[in-house]
Amino acid sequence: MAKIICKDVVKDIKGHRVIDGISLEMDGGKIIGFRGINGSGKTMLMRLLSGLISITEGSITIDGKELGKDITFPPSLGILIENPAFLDSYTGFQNLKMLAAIKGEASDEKIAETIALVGLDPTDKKKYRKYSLGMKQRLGIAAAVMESPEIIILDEPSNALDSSGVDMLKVILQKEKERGALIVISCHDLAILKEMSDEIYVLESGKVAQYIKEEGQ
Amino acid sequence: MMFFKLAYFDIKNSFNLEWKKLLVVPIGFLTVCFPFYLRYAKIGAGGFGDFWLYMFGGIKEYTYDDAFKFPVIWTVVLLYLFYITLYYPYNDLLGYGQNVLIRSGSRFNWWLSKCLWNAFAVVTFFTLGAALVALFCVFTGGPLSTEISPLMYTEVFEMAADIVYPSYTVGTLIGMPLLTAVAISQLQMLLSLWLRPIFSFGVTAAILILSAYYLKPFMVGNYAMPIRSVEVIPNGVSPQNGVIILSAIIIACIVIGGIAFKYYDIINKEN
Repeated sequence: MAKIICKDVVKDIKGHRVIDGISLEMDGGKIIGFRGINGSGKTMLMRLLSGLISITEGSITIDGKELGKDITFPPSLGILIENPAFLDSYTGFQNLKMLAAIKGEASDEKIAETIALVGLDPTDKKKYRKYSLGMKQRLGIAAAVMESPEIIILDEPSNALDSSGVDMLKVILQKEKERGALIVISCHDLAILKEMSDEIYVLESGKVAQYIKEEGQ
Repeated sequence: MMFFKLAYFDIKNSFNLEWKKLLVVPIGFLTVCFPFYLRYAKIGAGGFGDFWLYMFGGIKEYTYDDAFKFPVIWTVVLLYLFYITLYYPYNDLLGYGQNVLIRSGSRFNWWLSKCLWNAFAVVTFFTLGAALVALFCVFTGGPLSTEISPLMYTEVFEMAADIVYPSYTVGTLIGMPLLTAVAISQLQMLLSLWLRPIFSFGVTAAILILSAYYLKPFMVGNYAMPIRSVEVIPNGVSPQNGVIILSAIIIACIVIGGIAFKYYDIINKEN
């Protein structure tokens, strides 16, 4: 199971400190929640964990390998950061198939199964550009989990989802957690976050302001 | 193997996203060819080489004795090409491409794939342009050769009449503008790592305009102007030197971009 260790992680962008000395450990088989107001550093931390931005100081190790030195990206990672982005002229299935072709780890059956799991129709011929916001979000979640990655990073995954969508999300995340995946999510809704997460970090001005361990998760 | 998957993805994906921009190419080329034919067919111009030189010839050397004439057609054709290659890498990186990049596991492969895509897009543009000009010649009965009608130099480009001008080789007429376009387009993509695409496009436009103004070997736009070749005017730019300089720019863009992209923060510059 995956293990992420962040040690004194600092990130400066254009002279502004957006992450300020975060140290934490996250283990596979758990859902780790992050909460904070806009600008608190949630999305930046997720980008750092994904390898999309580099660390100014400190280190992030994933299964003993340092991100940015030993590895460029976590080797088994699914992400949904900020808004889902897909190709407008393709269907949901075609979009995921194109992504899956890069690593070759998800079969057509697995893609179709994942699309159905998020409540979409894998045979739907509708182009992505005609999807509603909720459908786009569901497809983004499907892209993050379709290859059964060891680490799943979801930034505000409940955005644009109705109550049935949030229930679907909970089911999927629980299933992925039971599989042994390490799931990192951010959510502005504390009630949803508490319901889903094993541990919650509250961020303020790029620092961990509070740590909450949910009992019985 | 991963690199080829990325390259295939980029070519397929960019065509899906940018095909509408290619639709303008036939309209643009024909808009240039047709008035040229009406105006200059009577002086014997109308072969493939004449049309091509009209579009990519550039402008004769500017001297302080004359008023500076802006090479409108040459600039517009090249700038449109650079506009086609401007946004895809940037938009890809902020959207779907992030998922592709993470799955590929290699930042250098991603950059290399974009460099290949960029060169492929330029070659596609030139191929499409050459095919359209050839088609136009077929319809108007012009010869499909790279021979230049003698009066092209004096009548169209207003160059001195007391010099015997050469017929072009395919290399000087098509190859040098193509290689120059590849180099400038790579440079534009490299600059877009740090600048917003519109600003790197501005730098590209400045390179073209300064090149039209100054006939100097380091003003690389000159290599895309066949009438400023040393084969035409004694103080012209050498295609051999051009190949070396332009190849060096292309290699430098690949290497510098590859190193820079290793540490590049993938984040929207607008935020």
